[in-house]
Amino acid sequence: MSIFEFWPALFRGLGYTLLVTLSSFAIGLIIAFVVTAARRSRLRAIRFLGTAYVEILRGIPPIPWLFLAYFALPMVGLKLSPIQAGIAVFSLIAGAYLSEIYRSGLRSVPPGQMEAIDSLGLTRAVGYAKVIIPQAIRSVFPQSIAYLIGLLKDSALVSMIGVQDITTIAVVQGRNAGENLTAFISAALMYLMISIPVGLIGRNIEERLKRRKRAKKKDRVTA
Amino acid sequence: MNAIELVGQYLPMLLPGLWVSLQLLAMLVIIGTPLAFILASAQRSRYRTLRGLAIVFVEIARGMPSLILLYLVYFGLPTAGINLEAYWAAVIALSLNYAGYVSQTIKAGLESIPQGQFEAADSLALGRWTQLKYVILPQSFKIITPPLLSWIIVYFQTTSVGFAIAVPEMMSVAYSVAAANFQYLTMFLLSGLIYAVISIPGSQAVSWLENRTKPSH
Repeated sequence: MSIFEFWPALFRGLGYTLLVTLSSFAIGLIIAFVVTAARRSRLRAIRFLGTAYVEILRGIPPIPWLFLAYFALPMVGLKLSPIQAGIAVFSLIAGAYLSEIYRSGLRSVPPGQMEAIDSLGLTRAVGYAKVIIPQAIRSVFPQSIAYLIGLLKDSALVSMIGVQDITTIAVVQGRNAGENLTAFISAALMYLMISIPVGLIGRNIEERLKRRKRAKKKDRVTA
Repeated sequence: MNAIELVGQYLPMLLPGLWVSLQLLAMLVIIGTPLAFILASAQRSRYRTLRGLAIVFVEIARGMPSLILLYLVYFGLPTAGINLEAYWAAVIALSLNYAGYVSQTIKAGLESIPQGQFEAADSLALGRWTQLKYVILPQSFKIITPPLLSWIIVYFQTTSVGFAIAVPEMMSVAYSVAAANFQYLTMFLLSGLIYAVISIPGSQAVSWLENRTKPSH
């Protein structure tokens, strides 16, 4: 029996795995932006809400969240399909983790820079857009890619609520064919085939960002 | 029934599940941490083959979802003639997964020791084992402890994947009680709360520890 036997079926699952992973990541990037802004607010109550969001979302594993969204929400009148519940839960979780990444990126920029922005009479918005974020991105980018790979692996948990992703297909096909070992090895290879190239591309871009920084420094020295 | 009565009635039902989750965690940490040390040291070995093998092992152990690794051990190994109980399948799969991640933390800790320390130990003619025991480990221990504790908290949460193969950990208990009494909201809120009540103070304590140990370097 060939290891490629399950691939056509697994490719159908790959579509759902990528759908959950990529849309949660995209929505999470936006949620994280809002949460990070809240955590840097001047108002204490807003800061507290931002921090509480991050701590609670990260303090509970994905499975209880998925079960709450899929099994419990219908009891209060909100019925979600498995794919909707999966994307909703992982978007909220990604928002919390990515917000931590943004925050540490912002902290990597020395506070003197913000003081310099203020003393130049620039608005905070311009300061963030032109000075702070371009520097923070160097540490935020590689960490976000690492999180994206983590999210891809975590997305396997949507199989618990019946999304037809790679994992569900492997369980069903392996059982039907009586070939569990082959089915799960194929599924594992499929995850590895996405996560390894994404990791390599991420590392490549990270290197380029670093090189650009070095090049800029050099320009300044020669100029 | 009001909220307090619901909590009073259903919270105690989760406790045997929590106990299994904690046992699972203890087992995987006891097996996984030494394995992670071995994998970290192997990646720093003089022998290329050993380094290569360790890297491949680590990449496989942490490159796939923990759920797939769990299924491979529980459903896949019987095809190869190895049958394991659900609990032991979970211990093995999660230990390997944990060791894969933790080995990288330990490796980073060992790498943070300045090269001069190794050279100094060599010039004093200390044996490999003596070096490790008296020079390298005491220093790296301080660096490794906070991230190691963070991983343990992460894996406390990860034990919930045991649900997938019916290990009677907290999520399995929550699910079966919920389904039998039609109490999905109560059971999943309560189990989520228990995870949060352990994980959140746990990670706060770790960051406190981290801040405390940092300035001394």
